[in-house]
Amino acid sequence: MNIGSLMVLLLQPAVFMSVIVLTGLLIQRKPFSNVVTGTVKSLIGFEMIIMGGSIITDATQPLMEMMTHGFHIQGTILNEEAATGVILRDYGIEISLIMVLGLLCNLILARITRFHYVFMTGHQSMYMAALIVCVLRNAGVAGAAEIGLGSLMAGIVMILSPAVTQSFTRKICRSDQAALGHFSSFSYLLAALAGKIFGDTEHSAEKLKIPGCLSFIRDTSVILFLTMSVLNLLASAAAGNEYVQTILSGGQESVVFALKQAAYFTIGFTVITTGVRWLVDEIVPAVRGISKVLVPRAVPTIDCPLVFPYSPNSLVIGFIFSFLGGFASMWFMIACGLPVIIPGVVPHFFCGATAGVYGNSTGGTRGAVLGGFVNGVLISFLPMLALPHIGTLGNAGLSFADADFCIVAILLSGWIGRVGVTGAFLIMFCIIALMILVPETLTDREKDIPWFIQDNNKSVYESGDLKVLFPLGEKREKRE
Amino acid sequence: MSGYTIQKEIWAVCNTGLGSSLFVEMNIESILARHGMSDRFCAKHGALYDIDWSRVLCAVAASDLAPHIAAPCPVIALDSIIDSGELESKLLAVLEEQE
Repeated sequence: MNIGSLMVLLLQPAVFMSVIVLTGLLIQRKPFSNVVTGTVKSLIGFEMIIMGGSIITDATQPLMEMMTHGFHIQGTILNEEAATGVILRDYGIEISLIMVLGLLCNLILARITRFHYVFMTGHQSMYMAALIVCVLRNAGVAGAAEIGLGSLMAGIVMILSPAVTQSFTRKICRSDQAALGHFSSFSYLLAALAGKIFGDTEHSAEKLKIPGCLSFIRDTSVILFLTMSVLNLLASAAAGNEYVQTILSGGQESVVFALKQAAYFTIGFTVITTGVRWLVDEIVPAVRGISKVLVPRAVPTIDCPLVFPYSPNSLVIGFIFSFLGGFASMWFMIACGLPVIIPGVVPHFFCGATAGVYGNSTGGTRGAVLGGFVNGVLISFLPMLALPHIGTLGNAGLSFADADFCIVAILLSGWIGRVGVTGAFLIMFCIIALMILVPETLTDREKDIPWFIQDNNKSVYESGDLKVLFPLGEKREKRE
Repeated sequence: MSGYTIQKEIWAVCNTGLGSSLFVEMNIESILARHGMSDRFCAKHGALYDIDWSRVLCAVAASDLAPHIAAPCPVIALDSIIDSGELESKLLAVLEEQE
């Protein structure tokens, strides 16, 4: 094999990613069998995501056509997993590089600034890398500038997103040992603030009785299939049996076709999440290993189930009201002739549930209801605003939902549009400089309590009033 | 050298098997290593709905999810998924019982 064909092999995205993983495993001096399984699993995982992406494309295209024919609207489905699967096929290398370099950037920032968050929610950083590549390509940025800008942006977001919610996360978990690493922190912040302003902590959601028959909503694939079935059935009914049979299904009954399409979407989703799991399983432990050496007081960020055990009722409430908020927004968009965002059940479940918990923590049941609803409206209108910035992905009828993804898309695209690539680099360096300088100047030197308190240092609490506010050693009260 | 022994599986479970269960799995692994039990038990993680329970020794999940797991094995419910001490005491109790 000559050098040329070796390069072709190496530049296959899946091979490229597995070589990165292999290097990581070798540096960690893992046992031989772990190195083999890790490398192979990351390779297959990567291909699995791409396969899942093409299943999703096949499942959404007829749905889009039925909606255009039946309702005369161009709808967009919100699902991060599906969007990543679709985009990974075209920009595999760029996404892998930005994901890995973004994580490194995150580790360096966690080391040099006082925000010691180490991002350990691997799938979220992968989706973020995919979104950033979409936005940069749409803005016409490619090559080294794309990788540089993308990695910096990813690194910064992975620090700021946990920081935004930390004051509330600390209150919910009664601990500063972990932060929330889920890219909808802006909507959680608004949920917590809405709960604080309009809520009433007297009536905690935990005092409510939620019927046990609702427990199926925890199974993501089931709720995804159910909602996609409803959507496909409505669209096929509106498009008419004749249209579906002649144009799309090749003679199959429209009801059967609609249900099959819903199943294909769910299959694509499941394949993608499995692929992501196989890939991320090899990356996150490496990040953890590096952070132990590089970042002395690292605070790991964890996916949204971090806060779920603290209020199981509010996550059901949050999900339901977030979904309602999404529906209300959809009708508003149809009525006003705006681009239509169809509520995606997966983001509404995870973000809505988390927003519910944050709302409940500051405003009881009313806070959970409001938090869920605010989140639902937010993750409908923000994706609508971000739609022009994500380029080709929007044409496929898919988009990212969670608030931080949309904010990153709007900001990044805006910066490049107004001040160009060099300007965008400058803005990011300014943000990093601010992250280093501002917390230092705002520290209350006398009490030695930083205003933002993410120093994971016990002596800091014990020296000040914070001990009263957040009793660290005390076990939290048992739920009934 | 002891011969090849089949490791018994301890599964960390969350909704999608992507994020928080991986974190719990890493915690379980370090606990097993600390107590010298890594050769007998291994930790894995996955989603609520796609685990083959027939080979699982015990499952670990956050307390909101634990009641929804229909598993033939003991299910450890964690009040806090970041509290390694809670995990350690509950896990060791279950493992001792199983031995």
